Parts: sequence; structure tokens; C-alpha cells
Amino acid sequence: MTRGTLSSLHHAPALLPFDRSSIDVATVFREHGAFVHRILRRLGVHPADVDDALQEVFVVVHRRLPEFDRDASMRPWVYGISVRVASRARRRRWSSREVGAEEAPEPIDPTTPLDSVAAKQASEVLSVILDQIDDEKRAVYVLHELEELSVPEVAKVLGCPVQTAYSRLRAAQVAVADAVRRYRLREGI
Amino acid sequence: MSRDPQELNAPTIGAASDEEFLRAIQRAERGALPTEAKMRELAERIGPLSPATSIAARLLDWRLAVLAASSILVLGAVALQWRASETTPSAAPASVVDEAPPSEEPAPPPPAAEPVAVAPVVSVDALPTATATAPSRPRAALAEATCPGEIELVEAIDAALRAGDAEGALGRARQLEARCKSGRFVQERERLAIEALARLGQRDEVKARARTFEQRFPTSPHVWRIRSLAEGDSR
Repeated sequence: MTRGTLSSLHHAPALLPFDRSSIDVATVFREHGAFVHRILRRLGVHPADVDDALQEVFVVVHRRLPEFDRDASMRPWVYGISVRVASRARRRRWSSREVGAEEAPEPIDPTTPLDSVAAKQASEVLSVILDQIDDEKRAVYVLHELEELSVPEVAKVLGCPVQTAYSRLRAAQVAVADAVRRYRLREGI
Repeated sequence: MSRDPQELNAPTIGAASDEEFLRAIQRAERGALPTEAKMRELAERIGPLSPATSIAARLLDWRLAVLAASSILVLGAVALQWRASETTPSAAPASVVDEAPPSEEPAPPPPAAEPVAVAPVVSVDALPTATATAPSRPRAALAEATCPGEIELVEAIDAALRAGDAEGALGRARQLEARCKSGRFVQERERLAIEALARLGQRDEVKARARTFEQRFPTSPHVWRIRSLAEGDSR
């Protein structure tokens, strides 16, 4: 991984490079920023909170980067931080009694071809489905099924035994299947 | 709104099975990344992390330095409180920010925390995250006891498959089957074996094993995936 700056991609000011490595926050942001944004939504962070949560993720990255094991994979490490930040963002919104502020997505037209669903609408529908499962299962499902991390990587991200990750994944898959069925019944699609 | 004639013949959301529906949604959702303009805006927000570039950055680093010292006591208290009782997240002090995953930091030094003005929040370590509620080692040990080494072999099969070594994955799956006939992760083993067979193009065996799997585990969450493998999806 080479050192980079945000300005090289987004014309923002260059970030502080970390002197003991060739990795800096700019590099992490450039390579993972968009995916962090997406995973925060996948993990149930309210759309209005995602930008703040992303900023929080990179504040933690900035702080912890010198301790990052250079031989380890960056993505699970960043996702681990994202999972924790997302958890807190959800709780913060919940405790501020702003739950439910998110508008229900437009139902998908049943005649839409399978390969023609708009990304934004898909994201909203997926959120509704994933909102039906608990946080632990959701995290495992998102990391494995959507982010395509291996189960051992998921276990590492979540700090749980691998067999626990497998068990949660199995339970999550059942829960998601159930949520899909209920969603389609409800929406008549 | 008129549709492309080709689209009219394509499978639709309404006619799709639940699995097809979910896959279509997940496929489309992959494109839901922030725009370039959005990323530029976010980069501007992240930019002040550099102390050399702005006043905000200097303030941030000043705060980081102060809090690096002061948070030692705070985090110590949080850690003690959390270790003592992993079920009382709301009791934690609201003055520090999130931590990296525990697996990345076996002996973490006290992190520099953000001031309340920037991140007026409770340490995520003090919240009931997946990490905090992970089952204890005895439970894991119990799982292992049913067939020692089972989980390691499942991991090895998964790793081989992800590395594109379907032959290796299949070999390990057979090894696991011989060693742990009725282990705890039989379903996972079978799913991975069928995935490997599908990638090797062994269609007849895929179909046969898929049928057997569905008869044996009709309510398994893997049925969807295995069914689609049997129908020819070996992505």
C-alpha cells in the first residue's frame, strides 16, 4: 500500500503522514472511505448520521494507525472500527428518541426486471430488511454476505470465536430470509 | 413509463423467489456508494486530521494530546468497570471515543480520546457490541469438544475456496467428512463442498448432494445457496 493524500483524489488538504510506515489516513480514506460509508449504512446507521459516523471512524483510524499491524489486512481492521462506531451511532439515535425518522422506501415496482433495481432503492429496501434482525446477527451478515469477508475474518473483526461467528451467521441467514418473506408480503411484491 | 422490449422478457422482481429477490437487491445495493462529490465533501471533513493544514487540525491535535494524558485514568476506570460487568454499558463515562477491534490490540495503550465537543460520546467498548457479548471460551471449548479440529478444517476449506483452490477445498471437505461425520458444522462443510464441486463443474454431483442436503436439512439457511448452485449459479 502506498502513501496517499486526500488531495490527490478529492482536492482536500493533505493529511498528516504517519512516520513509521507508508500508510497514512489519506491512504486509508482513499482506499476504504467509500466502503466505510456504505458499511455504516448497511450496519443500520441512519442516513442523517452516516457522515458524522464516517468522520468518527477516521478519527479513530488516525489515532490507532500507528498501532496497526502492518502485516495484517487493513480492511477487517477498518471494518472493526466501523462496526463499533455504527453501534454507538445507532444507540445515540435511539436514545435521542429519533428512531423512526427515516422514511419508508418506495415499494419496488413488481414488474421491474431483477437486474434493473436502482442502487438507492435497493439500499433502502435492504435497510428495511436488515432492520428486522438484531445487531449481532446483522453485523455478521453484513460482513460476510455483503462485504464478503471470510468467517474467520468476521470473527476477528467482531472479537468473537469463529464458531460463534458461524452460529450467528446461520441464525442471521434464517432471520434475513424471514425478513425478506415478511417484507414482500407486506409490500405485495 | 415504457420499458425496453428486452426488459419485458427479463425475470421480474414480482415473479422472483425470495432468494432471487434478495440477491437482486444485494447486487443492486453494491452500487450504492457515495458520489465523487460526496467523497470530496467528506475528505474536507477528514482533512483537518492533519495538524499542518488548518487551525482546526491544530486544535484537534492539541485536544488529542491533552486527552491522551487525561484519558488514561478515564479509560482505566472504564476498563475496570467493563471487565467487572459486561452488562452495564450505560454506566460508562461519556468522555471517550471508539476503539479499534480487540483482536488488533491485545495490549492497547491508552488511546488519545476526543473531547466532548468533537465526539460527546461513550466508549463503544462500554457498549453491548458483538465483541462485548461474545460467548465465553468455555462455550467455544464445548463446540470444539464434539469434534476436535473441526472448525479449523472448515476455515481451511473456506480459505481454499476463496483462494480459488476448489480442488484443495474439496479435498479438505472430504478429510473433514471422514474425521467429523456428525460434527457441529456439517451444514457448512456440505455447503462449501458443494460450492467447490460447482466450481469444478461437477454438475451431477452438485445436484445429487444438493438434493441430499435439502432432504437432510430442509430448514437450513444454506438451502437457498445450495439450490442456486444446483441450478447452475457458481459465481
